[in-house]
Amino acid sequence: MSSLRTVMRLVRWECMRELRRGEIVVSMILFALVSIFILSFAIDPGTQTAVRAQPGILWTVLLLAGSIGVERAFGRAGEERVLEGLLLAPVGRVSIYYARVISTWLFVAVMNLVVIAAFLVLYNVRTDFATFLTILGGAWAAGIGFCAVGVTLAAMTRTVQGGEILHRLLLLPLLIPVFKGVVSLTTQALRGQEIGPREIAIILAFDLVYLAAGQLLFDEIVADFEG
Amino acid sequence: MSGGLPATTETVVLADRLGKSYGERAALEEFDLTVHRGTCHGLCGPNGSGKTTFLKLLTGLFRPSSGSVEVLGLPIPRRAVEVRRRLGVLLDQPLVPHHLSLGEALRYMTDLHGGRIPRARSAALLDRVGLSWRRRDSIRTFSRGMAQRASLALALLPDPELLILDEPFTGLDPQGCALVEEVITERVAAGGTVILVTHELRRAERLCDRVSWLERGRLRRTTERGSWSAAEIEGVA
Repeated sequence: MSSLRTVMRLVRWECMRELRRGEIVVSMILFALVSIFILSFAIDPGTQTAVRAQPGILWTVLLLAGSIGVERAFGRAGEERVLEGLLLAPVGRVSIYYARVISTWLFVAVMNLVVIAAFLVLYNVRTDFATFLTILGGAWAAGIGFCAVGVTLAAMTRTVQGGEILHRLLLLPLLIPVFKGVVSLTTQALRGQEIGPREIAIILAFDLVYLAAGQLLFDEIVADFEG
Repeated sequence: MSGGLPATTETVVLADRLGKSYGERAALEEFDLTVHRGTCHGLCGPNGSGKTTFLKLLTGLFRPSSGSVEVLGLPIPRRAVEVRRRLGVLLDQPLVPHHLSLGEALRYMTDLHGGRIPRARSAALLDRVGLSWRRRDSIRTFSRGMAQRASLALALLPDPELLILDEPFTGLDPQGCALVEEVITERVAAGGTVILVTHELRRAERLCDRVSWLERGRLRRTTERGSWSAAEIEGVA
């Protein structure tokens, strides 16, 4: 219970920082919107090709924009030693890990909301609110695994030279299973088909695997902490 | 300070054949150390002698490669979280998000300690370190000396049984240095324990009941107050 309270306190501080500075959410949204906008020039949204490519375009943009957010989970400019401060505080490492995953997930979730809405408008996708919610729900569910892996890798590559590149190189292949599930879910939603339980089960199962693996690895990653 | 003898025989830090290696290179070897409650224990030695490695082992930031260390009777790193509730650490800068104001940084630290620290203590500490007038200012706007004063307030916030000070005089003006000396003296007099890492031998001579001398990752000797003189060492150097 006290661990949960600690996690929520840390999340509150992270959210406060983001509300003040907006550096993570704003940079993710700007990147995603510019990408969608440019891609809408390259692929005429009215064509059949564009309709088939919509789930792929959406998820490529969300994945790349999201990676901008998660790679900063431990490495914002001027705040490299905040993690050291947390590790010196009477806070369990599991709490630190989950606080970062939850706060990063909240930032990614806001980005998903804005970007998915913008995508549906820019690509003239005629859909109802329920479909929008289905796609958003899938994105939020996939976001859990995405943030679990992203935060773990951010801690791992924090002090490595060229860490940002390494972060993306490791992040993208690891997320293939969960993104396969969520792209399939988005395709079904956009075609007006009923969402099968298989896609949801895949996403949630990988979320759990990533969270468990992240929790175990995080403790190892910071075990010999070099500031 | 206790005039050369430990105030009590209760052991606060016990390092037993402690070692830390990075691959082939040993940063700390066969390190034995006992620190008693109610004393100020100095750690001195040239750069790269293993002082920071020892502090990291003591606070659980590092895992020992060999040997063991207990702090406040609890094994580190296994029970490090419990120990950190009773520990105050001052490093070279405040380890809090720098966009926070000083007042917020103290609230942040209070939250990290489970919200168990009364607000009045924060206000009293800000007065003590002479930074009440800057409590609304962001820490990133602080000068080196002011950041050091802020670090001191943050380290003292949980009213720690063991206070670890790593080069606390760096960047401070004479009044700031006097403040740190006063804090050390007061805490030791009140039965607290201080570990002081410093290159300033005259201050170590004045403040420390015992000083352990490190060189190339090994403990060379531990000297009692009065059995050594900074002037002699500086003369030799």
